[in-house]
Amino acid sequence: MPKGMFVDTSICIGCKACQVACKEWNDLDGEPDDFAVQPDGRLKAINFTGNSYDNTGRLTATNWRHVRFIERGSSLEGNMAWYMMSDSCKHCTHAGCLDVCPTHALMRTDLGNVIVQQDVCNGCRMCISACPYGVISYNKSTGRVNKCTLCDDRIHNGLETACAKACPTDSIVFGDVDELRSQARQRVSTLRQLGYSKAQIYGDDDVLGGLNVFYLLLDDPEVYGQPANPQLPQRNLIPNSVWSVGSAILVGLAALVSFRTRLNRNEEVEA
Amino acid sequence: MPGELQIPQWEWWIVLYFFTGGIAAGAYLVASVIELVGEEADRPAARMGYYIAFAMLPIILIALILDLGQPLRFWHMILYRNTFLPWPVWDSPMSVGAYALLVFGLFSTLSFLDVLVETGRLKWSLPRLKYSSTPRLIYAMIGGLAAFFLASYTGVLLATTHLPVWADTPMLGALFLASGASTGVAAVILGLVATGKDLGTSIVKLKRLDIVALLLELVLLVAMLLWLGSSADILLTGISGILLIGGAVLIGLVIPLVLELFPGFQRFRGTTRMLVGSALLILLGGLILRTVVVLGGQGLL
Ligand code: SF4
Ligand code: SF4
Repeated sequence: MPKGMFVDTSICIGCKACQVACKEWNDLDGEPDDFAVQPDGRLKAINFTGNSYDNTGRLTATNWRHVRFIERGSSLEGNMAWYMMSDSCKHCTHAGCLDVCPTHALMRTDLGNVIVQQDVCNGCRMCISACPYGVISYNKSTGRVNKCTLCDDRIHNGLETACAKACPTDSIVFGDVDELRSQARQRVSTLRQLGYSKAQIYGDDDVLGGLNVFYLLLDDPEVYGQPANPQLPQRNLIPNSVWSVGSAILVGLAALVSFRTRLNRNEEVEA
Repeated sequence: MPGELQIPQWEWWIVLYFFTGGIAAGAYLVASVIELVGEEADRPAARMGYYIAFAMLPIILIALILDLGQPLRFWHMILYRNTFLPWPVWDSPMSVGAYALLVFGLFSTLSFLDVLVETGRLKWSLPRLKYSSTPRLIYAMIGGLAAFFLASYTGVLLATTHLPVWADTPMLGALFLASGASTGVAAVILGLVATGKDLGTSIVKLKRLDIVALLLELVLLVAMLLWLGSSADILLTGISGILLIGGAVLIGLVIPLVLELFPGFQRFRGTTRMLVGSALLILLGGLILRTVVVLGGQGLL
């Protein structure tokens, strides 16, 4: 029975308790690029995004959770508002990262979560661009990659994830994926009745076989920086191989014609 | 990068590997074809192909190992760390490529040793006593197939991602194969000229093959850019654009082709200077092509 999380973005207040809890539990460092050391030795934050209240920006090797702030309206017109979305690894049922990892460092546990075995990963970075969500991040200081583990250690000891535990509005709920899905469907119909016509689930079975960490969004996925129709990286294997074989046949034939003894003898006579 | 994709940060070690891997594969291909269907007069060219393929192996190995975040764990590509058993991942070109490289390395080493015995440089009694040309035909067959794979899988590997330039066309593997062939043949020509061998008709055949490879490469490159449409912008603008058009296309493809095919250059053809010049341009073009695709494709240029 896969475990996962339902993230109801409609009740997220952007408090970032989940981000802090994640850093705490997983013992993750501060962002090296986000701080400068001042002469007195204290840290000064230097890396604000500058164009948004979203000052985390993106997922990194030490930010496994990212509360997105998506500005709506404008402060000049006095109708400024946000969509919030607490983003992380989706623990996809069809996980591109896992499919291309040559060392089997990426693996799925009995609870359905996808983890990076740190003692196996050799830092080849094949997985990074294979994830359609840009989740996996390279950690220069360890020479390996990192991402959310769905709190592998906690959930295998009967606890919920640290982020779900910390979320004050229960915007993040941990549990059995099946139960969470029916909970989400109810919530969508409630919201639709309330007039949120675009309320939708992102990550049902239509997306990569189902995302174990899935979302209720109030608008289209693109508005939240999520691809509407994510693909698996190996979709390109067959077409690319077919073209490669075609190219190989042409080169091979050219080589045969160039070097084949009998053919050349004929040509020499002609010349 | 579009959306929220992250880049693998593959940089110069990977460029170097793609370049030298292509040369090794191309050179071995020539050698194995001569081995299988060629005539005695072309054997020096075949031997040069084997030498070059073998000489690339240490560079390939070093580049691949040093690119890893954890270089000492390079063997995890072949043996699963927790069982010490081989465990290929069929959907992962990086995994299958690692095994193919192992096969290629093995057979190009065997071919190299065979050449040493053939030319009397290696005087081990056992291989000499039993020496025959049968094993080398087998090496050429298996090694030649591995070489085809080696030349193209690097392009397929890049395509097994979500980065637009790499993933939005089916032609990257085909393009790299053509480029591997053209640079491999150029390296063989260069090697033959450098060692002052009596070149005979081999050089004509090598050049003919190189022209086909260059034409194929040019066609594939143009087709790829057209196919990519607006995704190709990142390759066609800024430093990438200058390198791709000025370097890979003009220096690496168009000039060598014009020199070879344009009647005006007839009288220089076959001179040492022209042979060396063309080969160097082709090699430089191959290097630039890999640089633009690998680094430019990640927006790193
Ligand atoms: S979201 Fe990305 S990193 Fe997470 S399981 Fe899916 S493919 Fe892998
Ligand atoms: S970087 Fe690590 S986890 Fe990612 S594909 Fe390579 S070995 Fe697997």
